Amino acid sequence: MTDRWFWRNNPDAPFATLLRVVEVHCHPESYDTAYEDLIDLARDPEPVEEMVRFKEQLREALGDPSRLPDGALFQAASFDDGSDEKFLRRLWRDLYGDEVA
Amino acid sequence: MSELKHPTSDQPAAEATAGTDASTSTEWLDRLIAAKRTDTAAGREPYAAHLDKPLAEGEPTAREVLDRFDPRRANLPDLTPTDAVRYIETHAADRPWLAPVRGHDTAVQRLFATLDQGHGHALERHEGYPSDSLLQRRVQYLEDPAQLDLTKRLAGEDAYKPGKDHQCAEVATKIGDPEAFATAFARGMEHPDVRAVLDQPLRKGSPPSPVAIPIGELLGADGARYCSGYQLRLVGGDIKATTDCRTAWVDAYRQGREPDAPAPIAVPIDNFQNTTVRFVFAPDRAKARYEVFTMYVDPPPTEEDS
Repeated sequence: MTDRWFWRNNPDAPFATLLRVVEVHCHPESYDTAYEDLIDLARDPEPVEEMVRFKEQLREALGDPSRLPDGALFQAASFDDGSDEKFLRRLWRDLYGDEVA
Repeated sequence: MSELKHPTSDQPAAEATAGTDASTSTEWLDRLIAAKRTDTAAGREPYAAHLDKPLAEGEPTAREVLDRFDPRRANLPDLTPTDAVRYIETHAADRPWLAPVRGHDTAVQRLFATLDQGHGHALERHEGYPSDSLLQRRVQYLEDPAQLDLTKRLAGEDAYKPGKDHQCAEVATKIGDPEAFATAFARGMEHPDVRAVLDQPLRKGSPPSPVAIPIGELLGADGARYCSGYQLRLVGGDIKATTDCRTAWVDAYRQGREPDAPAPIAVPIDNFQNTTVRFVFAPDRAKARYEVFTMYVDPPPTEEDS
C-alpha cells in the first residue's frame, strides 16, 4: 500500500518540504491561524531554513507542476482550486505577492 | 434550478436551532441528544462497555488510560474532576458539544472539559455532537457544525474565523461515542509519536506534522464501529474537480446565482477499516508548546479515488 504521507517519513523525498509545510498550514483541518502564520513565515526577513527550502520547492513546482508526485499536493492540502497549478499560483501570490516565481 | 434544494429542508428542527435558543430551557438540548443517540449508534454497543477490557493482554484498559490522563501533559488547562463536572453542567447549554457527556464517567467529563478549554475544535467537529446531518452538510455545503448562529452557519461562516468561509476537506468524520472519543484521545496522548511533539518547546517555524495512528491501536479491533462520516461523490472521477465544483456551486448558491457546476452530493462512508486517527497540532495558548488542535478519523481512500 502506498504511503499517502510519504513526505512525513522521508524528508528527502521529492518536494517533501513543500508538501509538509502545505499540509501543516493549508489543509482545511489546520489550526485557525495556520494560513496567516504561513504568510508571516514566508515574509520573515530572516526566514527559517525550512522556509528557504519551501520557497525553492514551490518555485520548482510552479515551473513544472507535473513533477509533483501524483496526487500528493491534494493529499496534503485538500484544496478546492481545481488543479495543482492553480493552487500553487494562489499560494505563491498570497505568500510572495508580485515577486517573480 | 431544479437541482437547487433549500439547504435547511433536510435539517431536523431540533438541530437547526441547536444552540440558538435564547431561553434558559434545556428541553431542546435533551431532544437534540435523543435524536443523536439514534443517529449512527443503532446496533452498536456503547464503548463504555469496553472500558475495562485491555486492548491486549498486559496492556492497560481504557479506564486506566482515562483515569491517568493528565491534561498538563497534553499542554491543556488542568481541572479537578469536580470542577470538570461543574464546567460541563454549567456550559452544556451554550456549548452543546459538551452536552452528550453529561452524567458520564467523571474521567470522560474531565477530558471533555479540559479539551474544551484548550485551543482546538475536535469536540465540536469530530465527536458525537455533529449529527450525521450536520456532518453531511459540512462536507456538502461547507457549513461549520461549530457555528451556533444558524444564519451564519447557513451562510458558511466559520465559527472561529469571523467573516471567513468555513473550509472542509472531501470528507467529514466523527467518533460518535463520548467514551470512544475520550479513550482515543487519552491513548493518543501516550503514543510516542504524539509525545515527541507535546514534549518539545515551541520553535520558530511551522508546527510539527500531524501524527496518524491506526484506530485499532487506540480503540481496539472494533474501533471502526464507532466512526461515521460523509464524503463527496466524485465528479468526473476526479477529486480535484469535485472539490472545485463544490465550492463553485456553494458560492453561486449563496450569491443567488445559477450554479454552473453540478450540485455537490455527500454519501456515507461505509468503510472505516484500516482507518487512522489523525492528530493535528497547533501552538498552545501560552505559545510555549504545542497542543492537539484537532483529532479526527481519516478513512483510507476508496478504490474510486485512489
